[in-house]
Amino acid sequence: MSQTRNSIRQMLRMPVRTALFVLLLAVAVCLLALGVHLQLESQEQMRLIEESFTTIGTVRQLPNSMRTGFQWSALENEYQFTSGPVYDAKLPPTVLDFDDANYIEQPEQRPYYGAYHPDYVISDREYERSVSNERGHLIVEFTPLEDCVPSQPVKIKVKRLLLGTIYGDLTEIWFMAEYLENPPEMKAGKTYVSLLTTRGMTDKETGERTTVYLPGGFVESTQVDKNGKKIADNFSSENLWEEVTEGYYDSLQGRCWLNLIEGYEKFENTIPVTPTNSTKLLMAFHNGGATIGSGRDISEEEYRLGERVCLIPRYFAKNNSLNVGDTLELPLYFANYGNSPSQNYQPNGWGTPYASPLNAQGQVYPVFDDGSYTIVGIYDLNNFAYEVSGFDMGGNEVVIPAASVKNSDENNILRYAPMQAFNTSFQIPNGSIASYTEAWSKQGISNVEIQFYDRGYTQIKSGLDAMKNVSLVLVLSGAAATLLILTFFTYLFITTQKKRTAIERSLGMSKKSCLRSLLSGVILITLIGCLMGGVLGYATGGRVRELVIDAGQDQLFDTTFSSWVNNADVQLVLDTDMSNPDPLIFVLVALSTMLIAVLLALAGIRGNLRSEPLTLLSSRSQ
Amino acid sequence: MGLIEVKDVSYSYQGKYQTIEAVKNVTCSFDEGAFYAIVGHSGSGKTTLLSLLAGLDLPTSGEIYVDGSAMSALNRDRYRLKTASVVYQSFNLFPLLTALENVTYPMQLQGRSKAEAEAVAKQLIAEVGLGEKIWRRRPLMMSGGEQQRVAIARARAAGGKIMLADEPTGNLDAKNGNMITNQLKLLAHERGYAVIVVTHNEELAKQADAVYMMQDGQLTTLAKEGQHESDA
Repeated sequence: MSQTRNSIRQMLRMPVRTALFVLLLAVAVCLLALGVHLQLESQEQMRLIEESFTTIGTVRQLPNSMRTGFQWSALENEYQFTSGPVYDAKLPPTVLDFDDANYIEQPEQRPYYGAYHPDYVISDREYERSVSNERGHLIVEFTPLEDCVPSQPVKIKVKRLLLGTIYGDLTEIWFMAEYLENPPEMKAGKTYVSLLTTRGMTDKETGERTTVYLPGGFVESTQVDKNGKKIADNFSSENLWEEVTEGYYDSLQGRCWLNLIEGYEKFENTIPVTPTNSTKLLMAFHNGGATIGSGRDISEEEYRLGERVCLIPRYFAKNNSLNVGDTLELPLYFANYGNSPSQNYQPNGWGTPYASPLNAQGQVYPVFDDGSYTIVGIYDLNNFAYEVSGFDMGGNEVVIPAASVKNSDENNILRYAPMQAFNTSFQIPNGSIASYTEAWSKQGISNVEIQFYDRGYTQIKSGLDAMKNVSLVLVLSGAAATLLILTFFTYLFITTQKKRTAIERSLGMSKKSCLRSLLSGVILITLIGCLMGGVLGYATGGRVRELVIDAGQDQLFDTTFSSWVNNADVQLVLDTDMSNPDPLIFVLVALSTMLIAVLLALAGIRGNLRSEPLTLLSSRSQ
Repeated sequence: MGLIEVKDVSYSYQGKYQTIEAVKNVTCSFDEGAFYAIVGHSGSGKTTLLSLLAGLDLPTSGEIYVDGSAMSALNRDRYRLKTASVVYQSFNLFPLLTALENVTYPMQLQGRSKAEAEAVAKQLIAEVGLGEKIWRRRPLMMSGGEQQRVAIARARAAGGKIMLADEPTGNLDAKNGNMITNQLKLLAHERGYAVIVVTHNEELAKQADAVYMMQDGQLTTLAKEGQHESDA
């Protein structure tokens, strides 16, 4: 004890030197602790960001040319310009299989399947009635009030409503052949059948608004094979209305009309089902249009094994009183490669494909795969805007693992299109866009457009890298400064104290006591410096974080929308976690510095004790 | 039988190129109440012998007996703490401690209380002819003579009966040198110490009761006035 007291007393007799050392050590420890704190925090943020962000690429085959034309509009009384893409060949997603393509999820071109089950409520009928007088397709039998050519609106009398719902008076309606410049004459007293759509028309003189019913479809099949080639049939007609005579519905055309009615009825009560290999590949989940609000995401293993599990939208779950863990019957009967569900089905479940419900045999598509799916998650739609990009989730859209569909859809494809951004995507590692793009450009394929979406990961990563570098500089400079100061301190307080050790030895102090004597002073002074540095670092850590990190906070944690469960909570947790530096870091850095100081001091003291005391003390030089 | 018996002691160490024999087959005896001087040229092995007598190292061969006990069997740290003290040419006080703290140091190592150690230290400082003013002074504020007297007081503080001194007057002027010589003589003749001084100073050597000559590691006894020279 007396040795310790004497040792400390001697140190305190060099107040400037000791204070300077303590201050320098405190600053160095503070820098080191801050550096370590920032380094660990940046690593943690990087980990969180790696977990929270995904980078996906969407693929679109560009048309080789555009087909242009003109179509007559009776309403406008003029030809109107039309155009559409022309593809020489439809490229498969396998064109994206090339060396150096480091996919997390391989490119997939997704169809959406139609599932029909009469037990499920597709939409809120009361709501529909409040927003429109009609629902869905209308197929009616009608008779003109007089002989007419419907190049202008003519009055017809509805004899029978074969399909659809009209909530108003449909006894007499206006009818006009919108797309025919020279429509055929209709005779009063004859009965015709037609598929009608509606259009509002304003009288230019009176300003009165009238609903006009337009013939809007043929009896036809749009079925295509796997390569997108149309399958020939023997019943398609280009007549916008057909005359109904006695026994008409027993004829091929008549039966097709009846099948058409059944097909549209199913269409309007269809659940769109998207088979995919990863929820992350769906743009709505990637960009925040949809988030899982109850339950969980489909796991990687479930995707890989093709487990019959699914995600359903909240609206559909509510209408059908479905919860996580319940099962959903999904009899799949058609595949649509040409549209996304959101292009065909509005968020309220109302919609229909832009295709005929009849296959090449004139029949409604038969079920090609049937199964019970367990609901593992219910997602919420965060963006109700109905837009045509196809990226949003469609009304009632159910997500299932692609591998869970055991049977081929090749005989049930009602529409096909080349790869589109909304249905063809892949996932690559975060931060690999540049290398992917470089490798892809070497493939020489010019008519495929790839668009990347990383939710700003690249920008954030560069910001985080900068922060990591800053913290690394802090760690290195802090460590170097700490080592230098400790080494200098060891030299100053120990190596130059050889004579003191020799005197102590000659006074009868054992080597152990000499070691204790010097070490106790070193430990005390270093402890003060380290504690001051640690406290200073902890006190300024939060502020430094604000300065260095919080500049990018909005971007860093803009993960409000992703495919993760309870995402808002995750964001909250991130904020909370980052609000205070972890004091343990500062304690550990201070303790580590102490340990290094003790080790250096021990080495110095060992050197002192090696010197022969009498030789040293007999030195004639003072 | 003397207080210290040195029997056929040799000491060698490994130099850079060869083994150096610093002390060769030395046999001698030192009694209580006597003042001894060891003279010789630089490098003759005087200081090495003093180091062995102080228990800072052990002989390569032979044995040193202190009060009948072999040095090799003693706790040598304890021996220095309680029995033998060393005074140096360059004083070797703790530069950052005051005179009083320097003198109390060995007593505190022995576990004596601060108050007791200070009381004894003040007495010892007074006995070497220094006043109260010196108590709070650090070595840098003292003259060489004062420092050496404080060093003698510190050496006495341990309470042992062996006082070893390595050129104690080497850094002092004649007046201070004489004062220190007298102090050492006094310790030997009036307080019963065995005082062994290594020195080049002939005047100091003349004051000794016995003088040894160290040459090439070997020790011989020089005849004092009126005595015959004989081998040690």
